[in-house]
Amino acid sequence: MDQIIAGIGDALTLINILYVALGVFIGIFVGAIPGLNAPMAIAIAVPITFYMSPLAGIAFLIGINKGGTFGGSIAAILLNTPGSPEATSTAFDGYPLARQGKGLKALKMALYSSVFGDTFSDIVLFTVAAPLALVALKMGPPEMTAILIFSLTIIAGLAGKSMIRGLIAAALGGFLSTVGLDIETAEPRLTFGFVELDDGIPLLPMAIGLLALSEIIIQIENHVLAKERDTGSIDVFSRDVPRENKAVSGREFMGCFRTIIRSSFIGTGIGALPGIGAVVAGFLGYAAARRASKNPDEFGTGKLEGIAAAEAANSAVTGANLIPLLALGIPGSLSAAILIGAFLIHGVDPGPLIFKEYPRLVYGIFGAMVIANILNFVIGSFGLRFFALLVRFPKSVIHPIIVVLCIAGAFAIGNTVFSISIMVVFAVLGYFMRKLDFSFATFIIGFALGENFEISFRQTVILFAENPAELLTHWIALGFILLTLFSVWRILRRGTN
Amino acid sequence: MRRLDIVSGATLTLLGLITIFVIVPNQISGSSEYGIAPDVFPLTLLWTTTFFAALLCVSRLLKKDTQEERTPLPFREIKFVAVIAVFLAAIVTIIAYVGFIVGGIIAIAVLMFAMGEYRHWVRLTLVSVLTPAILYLVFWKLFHVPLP
Amino acid sequence: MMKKPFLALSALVIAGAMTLPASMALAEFPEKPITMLIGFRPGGAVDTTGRLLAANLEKELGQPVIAVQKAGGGGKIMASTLINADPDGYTIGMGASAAYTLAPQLDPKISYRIDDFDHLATVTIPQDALVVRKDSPWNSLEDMVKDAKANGKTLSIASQVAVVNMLALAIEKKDGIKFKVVPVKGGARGIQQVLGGHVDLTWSGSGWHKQVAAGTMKPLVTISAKRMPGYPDLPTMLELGYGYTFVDTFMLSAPKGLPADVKAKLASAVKKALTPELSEQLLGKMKLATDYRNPEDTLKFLHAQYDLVTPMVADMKKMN
Repeated sequence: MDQIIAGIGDALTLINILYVALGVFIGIFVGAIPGLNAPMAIAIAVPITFYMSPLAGIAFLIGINKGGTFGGSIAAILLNTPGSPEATSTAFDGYPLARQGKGLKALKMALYSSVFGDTFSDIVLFTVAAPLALVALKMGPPEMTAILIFSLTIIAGLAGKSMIRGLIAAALGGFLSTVGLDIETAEPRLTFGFVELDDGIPLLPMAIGLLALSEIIIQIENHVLAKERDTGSIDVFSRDVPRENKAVSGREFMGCFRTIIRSSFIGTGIGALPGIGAVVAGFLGYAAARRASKNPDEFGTGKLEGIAAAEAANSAVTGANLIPLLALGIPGSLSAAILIGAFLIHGVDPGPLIFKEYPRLVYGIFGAMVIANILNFVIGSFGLRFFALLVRFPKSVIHPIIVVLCIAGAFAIGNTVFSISIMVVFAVLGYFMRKLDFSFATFIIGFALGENFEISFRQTVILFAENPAELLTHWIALGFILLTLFSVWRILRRGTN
Repeated sequence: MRRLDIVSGATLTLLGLITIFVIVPNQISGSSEYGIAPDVFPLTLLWTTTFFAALLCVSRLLKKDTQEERTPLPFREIKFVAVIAVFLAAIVTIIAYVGFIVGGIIAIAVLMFAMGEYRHWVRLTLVSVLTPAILYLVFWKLFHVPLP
Repeated sequence: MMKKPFLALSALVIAGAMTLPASMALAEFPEKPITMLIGFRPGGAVDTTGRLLAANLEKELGQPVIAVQKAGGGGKIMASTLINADPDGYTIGMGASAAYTLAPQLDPKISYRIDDFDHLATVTIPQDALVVRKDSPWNSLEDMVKDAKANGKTLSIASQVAVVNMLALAIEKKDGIKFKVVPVKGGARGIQQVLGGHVDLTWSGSGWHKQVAAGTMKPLVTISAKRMPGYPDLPTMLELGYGYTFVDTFMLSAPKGLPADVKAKLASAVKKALTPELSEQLLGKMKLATDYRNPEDTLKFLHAQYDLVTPMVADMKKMN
């Protein structure tokens, strides 16, 4: 108990609060700018933490991570261009709302649900990290395979107008995830001799191109081919905007409450399982909300619930990502893997012993996370006003700058021109996918789940090839397979009606 | 949408078949001692893609949909995206061989010009010159990212 | 009214950018900052070694040494970038030996070879081990082999790098038992599979220390060349007669063709930068042992390691 109080006391020192505030600010900032994002900023900032105390350094990085989860939604809502990949599903309903003049309302909903989802998963981390991590450990190759198959059924909810096009996009995404060194033989697959592709097509440059730059290209096109005069500067503050379009009422928030809770659970679950990530969580939360809704057709036309579903889910991943890290010493995501480095720099090895060896530090970090959530809310509230002002610049200035920011951001991932090329290729692909209505949500899901699915499946085959009957004793895996069959049956039945 | 679905379906089918029969045998080798060979997953997914692409093409051919909507991708937009693809490729080349600042200046200047900023040439010059320069300095001094 | 300061600022910026490459005079090396490419992602063992070393190198050389991330492919991406840099001593690369000795043999398409670089120094080595869950019945490699033989068990081993496949092969060859090699993406995933009880054992370069300290795992054997300072009781595979060792040493290299004086200056600076305090820090924080070698010995070591793995790679390729 003394340690808990001491730790929280450490977190409450002015210097630590300032570092957290700086981190949250940087996070919101890089999150909001298309082309830059939080994992990138964390990777770049780790070396800076060399010179800070362990608590300050880690609190700073966690601040970046948390700020980034909300920041991404700003550009998604105001420009239809996700500032970070995980905010893609926020744009589905956020941008239509902004066009109706309800931009500020959408931003606030995003902020509230983001902070709520984040806090929810932090509480899970503080209270049941150890048992939850043990459950996650039990997920071996067969269980992971089954869970991933089940997750693939959400493609149905995200395919857009045409199921066939959605499936094509998903299969294509899955195919592209097989690029890189083969997991078993270590021989290159489809790399055309580029060493840069050995680790697979890098997700971040691909996502920046596919999700952000392609949209910017389309908006530039509309401008150049004069399909639209400069209507772009959506004014969210002016006095003509009625008050109810600028704020989220308590009733509106409570109306989305079930969705927010559902998405928080989904995000927390995905965060606790290594290797899936916030982008998929956002899509999953969105698709689940749509499936549960009485009026699924309203999604995508500017429904507050859609924003809540996406933001709560992708933000709930951040806290839960630390569960396997702190309880087992196993990172659950790229950001968490980089955080391990930040711990190690200070001589702290996160793992099963961290609660025994460094209780004060751990509780200090927990304290810092709570502070970060509060600051995220405060800085976010002011920040969204600032960014909303930026949108009032003419598009002919903003868009060219975003193009160059995307280029610089793509380069910073791995310090190579190669990732700029990747981004450009996927921007052009994304352009056609948007125009021809091939769902890029299913594409990203195919890509993100494809690699994990292949690995888990092949591991299962290797482990059980001699004795397949043993698989029948894996009841968790069987349960998920049954769930999958049930959902497919439901989708098919709905389809024939 | 119908005509576009037919065209994109046919194109994807063709590309899929080329990848299956030419690229994959060329680019994937090796087998597995006790598991699944490296080319099984890529090929399965490719066949899935190709199958659905062909299905898309055929199903739209069979559906005699007379009320054709406005095509979402007129020819001038295809021309536009071709131009912008070439433009971005050129910018990447310039960045790789000359540098980020020069490439960035050209990229912003051309895009702003195309979007009608020639009316405000001062703003055009300032934004196009300052943005890449500031970005370069910020990335290098603050983050130690050496933009080329 | 905003115009003037903006113009002045832009003029300054441009002037600054232009004078950077222009200041190339004939003075003593180094007279501008040195860039250290790092072949692994931030916060990892190689990265930390590189950054701490860079801080000390700065004091020795009197110029900033700036670490730039070039992560991926186990150091391969860094190596293939470094080979194209100017051999003037202003670009050096921190990587690991497997990228030079093992990778080119596994993938013949890789364009560089050991001799395409001027290797400057070997710096640190990880302390590795073959580990099992703490409730495993085996306390040594011998126990494990006996059990597998007596009960006809096929053991499963999680593998994140070719080093583990070769390790399994070495045991299979000597003792005639069988392994199912389960590929995993990264050492942390291997530990996860073993902790969860899905796989019997795994090899780990660094993540295992904390698990052993926490009592969740037991080490059986190491493939280091000699016993490790932190674990004097843990036998090596060489001692047990398997004839197999592979140490992925962390090392500094430069593109081929450095001027002799530059190379000598860099090499001696690295040696001096590797102070006892730094070694202690690396061992304490990262569980990395210091194992300095000068340029000549580093080159010899790389060639020896290359030759050592050649027959094993051939064995592995036969199976695929």
